[in-house]
Amino acid sequence: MASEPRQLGRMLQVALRVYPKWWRDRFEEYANEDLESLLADGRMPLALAANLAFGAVSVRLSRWSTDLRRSIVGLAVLMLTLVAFQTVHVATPSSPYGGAAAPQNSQFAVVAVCPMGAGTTLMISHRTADHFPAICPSRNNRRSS
Amino acid sequence: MSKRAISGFVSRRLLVLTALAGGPSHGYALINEIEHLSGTRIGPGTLYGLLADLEQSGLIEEVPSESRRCPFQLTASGRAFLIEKLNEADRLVAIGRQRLAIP
Repeated sequence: MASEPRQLGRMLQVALRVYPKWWRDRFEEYANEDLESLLADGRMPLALAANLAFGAVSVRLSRWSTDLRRSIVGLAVLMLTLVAFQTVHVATPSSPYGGAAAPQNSQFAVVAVCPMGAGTTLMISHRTADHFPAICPSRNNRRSS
Repeated sequence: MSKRAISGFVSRRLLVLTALAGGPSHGYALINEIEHLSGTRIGPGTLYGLLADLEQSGLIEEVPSESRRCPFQLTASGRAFLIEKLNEADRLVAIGRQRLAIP
């Protein structure tokens, strides 16, 4: 991206990098301008970064086929069900002090983290660079001049 | 009904199209206009997702500009789509008013 260095916060820059390449090629320059104005208006950087992060996930998911999205949602629901079952219904060993012992944290972590890791990997590795190849005609002119 | 409540009823895509009905506008202006119209405070992440969808659907397009902020405008299809949606809303409002006996 040939945009000039900006004074945006690191958090916002990281959030912008979560977007797919085609989106950054297409909209990053405009989004940078808007972010500067919104920050000058007093908008909270954290709220803007959260909005960008949700937007990035939404953009990535919107490019996936309906079947793939359904599969991922189904997998997530299944894993969440397993997590709930693990934490609520599986008996935990008794504590030597009389109460229930702590949940089996290591198993819980594996069950909870695996689908999140798989989902994140899928999301990041998904290539959508061939979408929206055209950019603003005026930017084309500026770059060629 | 408050503006905040209205925003829950109206699709955000429709809000963007309505904001663009007044003429070409860039991202920051659209964010402010949508807040003025509906009370919905959207961020650039939400806005550019909507703009990408609407552009892909052929309802809006970019306007060549020398500014760093490239404005968007309604296409003919976008204008027709917005008119159709507003007519639908009008019909619904008329039916609702009639059933509630609002003069």
